[in-house]
Amino acid sequence: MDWSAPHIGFVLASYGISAAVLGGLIVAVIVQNRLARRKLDELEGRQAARRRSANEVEAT
Amino acid sequence: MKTFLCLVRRELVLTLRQGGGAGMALGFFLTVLVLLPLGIGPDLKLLQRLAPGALWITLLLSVLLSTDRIFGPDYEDGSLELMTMGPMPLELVVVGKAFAHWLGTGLPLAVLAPGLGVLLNLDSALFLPLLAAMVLGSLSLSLLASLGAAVTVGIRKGGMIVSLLILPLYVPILIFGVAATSAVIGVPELMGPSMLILAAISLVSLVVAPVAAAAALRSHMT
Amino acid sequence: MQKYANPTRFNAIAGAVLPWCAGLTVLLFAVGLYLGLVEAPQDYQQGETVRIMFVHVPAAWMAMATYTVMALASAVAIIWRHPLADVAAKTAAPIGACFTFLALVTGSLWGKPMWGTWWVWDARLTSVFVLFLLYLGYIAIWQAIEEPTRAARIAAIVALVGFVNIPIIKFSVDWWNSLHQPASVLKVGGPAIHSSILIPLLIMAVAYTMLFLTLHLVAMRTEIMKRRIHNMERAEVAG
Repeated sequence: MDWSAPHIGFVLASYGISAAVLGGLIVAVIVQNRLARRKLDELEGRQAARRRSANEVEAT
Repeated sequence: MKTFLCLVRRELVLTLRQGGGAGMALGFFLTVLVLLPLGIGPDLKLLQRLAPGALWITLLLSVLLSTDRIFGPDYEDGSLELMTMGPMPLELVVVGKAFAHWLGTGLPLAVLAPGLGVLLNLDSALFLPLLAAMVLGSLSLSLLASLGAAVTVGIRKGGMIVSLLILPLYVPILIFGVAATSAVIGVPELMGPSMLILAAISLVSLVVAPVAAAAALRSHMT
Repeated sequence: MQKYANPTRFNAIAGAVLPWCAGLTVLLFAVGLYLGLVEAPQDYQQGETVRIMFVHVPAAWMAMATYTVMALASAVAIIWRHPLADVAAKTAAPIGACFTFLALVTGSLWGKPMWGTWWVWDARLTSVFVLFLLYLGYIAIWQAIEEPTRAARIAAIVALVGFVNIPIIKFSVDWWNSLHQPASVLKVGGPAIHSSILIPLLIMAVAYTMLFLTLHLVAMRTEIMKRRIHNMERAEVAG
């Protein structure tokens, strides 16, 4: 690629913004996935704990 | 048929009583027509060139202004649910309401537009084409507006979403409407085809809009 | 298709497929970018700016392909009530909106050196702009309606109506342009594209497609988790 060609700025801007937007999208999708997983694990833990204590109550 | 006319009459009476129909749309129309030259400049030749497009855009926006009136009140007080259980299929109810909306908003504006176009120095040769095209086009505007209203009924900030959803649907009507209007001074052979396409769009909307709107209303009410 | 209706099953399949999709995406991008930026020659007319094609055209293709996926999923949701269909539609929208945004911006950046203006109202660009509005409206509907089943059906209707409208708009603007711009017919691409340009373009197009597939699968898994969270939180409150 000829770095001194005219209008090279437009090319760089295009690739730059594409990288920025797609990168941001990838990060957002992954982060939301991780957050949901964490929340779900937390809720499942609480649910399991409640079931265990309910079983204990039943047993007595 | 009697039930249909009954519904249309009811809508028109309610609109007149509440005063939110043609009066409000007309007021908005006039306001925009005052603002346009103030924003663009008093150059009469320029205004004349812009007049058809400006009038059509103002018509589009004015029709959109009153969409929450179509289903909103009836949805809130439960009348809409009663209508779904009535003798008329919900699709026809939508047609009736859209028709009444047209009679109350689109049609009066279409009739008044040529006269108001004088404010924008509209070429007098365009008066009749403008009237015809707007009468033809405003029916589909009301039908599509009722589709937007049905989709957003009961949603807060529904008014903003309606514009976002319906204005893209208005694009073909705008394009062919302006073409039909200004054909006389541009390319006269285009007037016929453009008017026909406007009529076709109205007919297609008459079928598609009520079906989709009824489906949306049912989703909201279950 | 009912086989994949079970979210757990979907999660299992998605989990198996994802690493391959992600890996392929990276590979394709690497190859495509190398071929496009290093190997491909300058265009004798456009110079280096022809390389913008490699990020603009795939983005535009994906913008339209994603909306098609959304519309298909919406149709499936309405007709067959497949439980994952509205998940597919909902999660595709933000990704599609990003592609559309990129198509518009890179198109503008390509247009300025080539045609001299940042924007022209030809049928293709106008349709992409309207497509962007359709994405925004669709996303807004999901945000605005709280009850998930209701939101799903309304959104599906919105997606389908929009999908029908796109060709109508393209036709209308094409017609309008033929009236107003008889002289300059803006042809993006021009005569037959040489293979040294075509191959990187196609590779990048497939790369973008794999990127969409990867992100879409992840997003669908996230959405399924969010619905389980929603249900569990409601059950907790109900005690």
